[in-house]
Amino acid sequence: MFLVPLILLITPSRAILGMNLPVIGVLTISGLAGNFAGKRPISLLTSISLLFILVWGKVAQDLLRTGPPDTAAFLIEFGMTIFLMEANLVVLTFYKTNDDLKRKDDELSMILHQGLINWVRNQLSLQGMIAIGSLGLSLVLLPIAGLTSISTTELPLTGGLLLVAIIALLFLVTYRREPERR
Amino acid sequence: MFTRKAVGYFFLASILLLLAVVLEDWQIAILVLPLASLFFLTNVFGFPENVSLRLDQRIIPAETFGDEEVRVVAEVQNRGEAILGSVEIEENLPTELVPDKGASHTFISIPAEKSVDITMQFKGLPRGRYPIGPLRVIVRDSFSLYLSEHRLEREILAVMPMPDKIRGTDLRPRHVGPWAGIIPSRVSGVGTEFFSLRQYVPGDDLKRVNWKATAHNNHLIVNEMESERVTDVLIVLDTDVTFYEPSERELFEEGVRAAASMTSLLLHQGNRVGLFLQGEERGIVSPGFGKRQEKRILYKLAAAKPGGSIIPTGYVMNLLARSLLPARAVIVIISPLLDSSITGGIRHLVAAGYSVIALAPTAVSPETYSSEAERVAFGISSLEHQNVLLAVEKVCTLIQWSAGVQLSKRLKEARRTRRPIRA
Repeated sequence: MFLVPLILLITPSRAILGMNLPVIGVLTISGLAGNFAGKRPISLLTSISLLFILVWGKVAQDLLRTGPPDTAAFLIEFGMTIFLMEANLVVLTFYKTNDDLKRKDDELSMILHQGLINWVRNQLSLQGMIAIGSLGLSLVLLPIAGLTSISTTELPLTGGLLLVAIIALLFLVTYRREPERR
Repeated sequence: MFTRKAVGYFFLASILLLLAVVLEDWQIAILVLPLASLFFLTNVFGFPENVSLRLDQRIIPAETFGDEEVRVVAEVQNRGEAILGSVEIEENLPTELVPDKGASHTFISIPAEKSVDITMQFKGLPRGRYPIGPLRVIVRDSFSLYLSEHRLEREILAVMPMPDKIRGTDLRPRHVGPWAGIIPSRVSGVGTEFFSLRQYVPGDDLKRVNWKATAHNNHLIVNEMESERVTDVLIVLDTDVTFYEPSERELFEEGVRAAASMTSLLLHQGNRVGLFLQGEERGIVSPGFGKRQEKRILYKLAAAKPGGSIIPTGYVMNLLARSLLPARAVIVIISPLLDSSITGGIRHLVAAGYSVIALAPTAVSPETYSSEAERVAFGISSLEHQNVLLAVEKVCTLIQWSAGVQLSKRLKEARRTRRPIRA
């Protein structure tokens, strides 16, 4: 709820046809509605829209040649959107699963309910730790990333950088992971 | 294994990098940093390198008459050395099976080298055969970027029809087996009923001497008893009925219960009993003896459902009787006898020497009709049904009973066929 105005107020108004306030309203309402009604697709769509607006805002700034935002703030906003979306999904999953158990007061359901509460606590705390870790690591790496710049005039260097970035990503994604044996 | 979400993030990172190159903007490129960090940290701290699970599933009891509570216990053991933070356990159940206690889907954390039990409890289940499972256990990291899926194949919970205690099956088959039973065989031998008199031969037990007859004849006369044997019986449950409405479901259930009760009774009497289920769910249990055979037949009956069959009941019945039963054995047909073609099948069986007993559950006439046309239609169909019943009654023993009337009572009152069956 607090990320919507934060992101939309730094987005150039021309990027969204000067409709910052209506878009804030729509996204806030859809996000709240998705959460309160327990509708996972609505909530997910709102988060993805927010992510899209954030990136589109940056692209629009480049195209309109307006002043760039603060890099760290921009990075944190992006990271926060992703991590809050993930936390939201966990909470919605918890509510959906708990709905069936809430109606029952037998011992077996109570055990499952307790297990589910432990699961959501565990999930949120792990997510929180990884989110803080990721943002911290990104901020640490930011100066290193800032040393390089992307230029179309030096295509071999740019291509090389892109390749290194993709290989690094692939390594991070597949590190310690072997194909599933069935 | 990666999740679709992981692929999505990777795709997003690629787009960001491309945009950065196209727009020559490193600020967009640095957005990849939190994504890469997320993958890295999740990979290292969020998800163990090897996920080792042991799954077990127990249905207690797996075969029931529906009069007791049934528990399904799924046990998941974490055999790894790391805690599994997010484990989704899902037991796939048929839609009509809703647990009274517990739930079939949950999320849980499992500490290292510990196991958890997920128990569901069901009460008052209707007759049927229910697939329980497959049990799916999905282990994910906290951001659901990686997953490891494990599954256990499905098991079957059979809710069998409860056999009623019935009496009164007075079987008079033309064929009896060599084993002792309770069916009078019309030949002398070991039994309880008097059969005839004959002259004493050395070696006869003196207890069997009929002194009155001896006095009359001036030489020793002994009593001969009628030997009692068992026979072979094939129970045919005709479920080839397509127009049973929900209100008539009970009538169908009566038929199934009658099949179960007859099976139980005939097997307890020592007969060799088989079952043929004809309808949407077709099945055969070859004739056999004993308690295991009773279980086999009841298990098969658990799956009986009303529904249309492509091959006519009469035809299949004839074919099977010849391959499963010895000549002149007994066939018990449990059918509402709605299809006139069944009459031909029964006639052929009787002509081939089989003793046929037809048990027909009957529907109660509706109290009111929605229209005059419906009343006339019902009248016509009732007349047609009566014709079928008359035709069947001419060739075999017909027993009709409606819901609420004890089958035992109707079996006792049953009229024998006009043509007596003799050995």
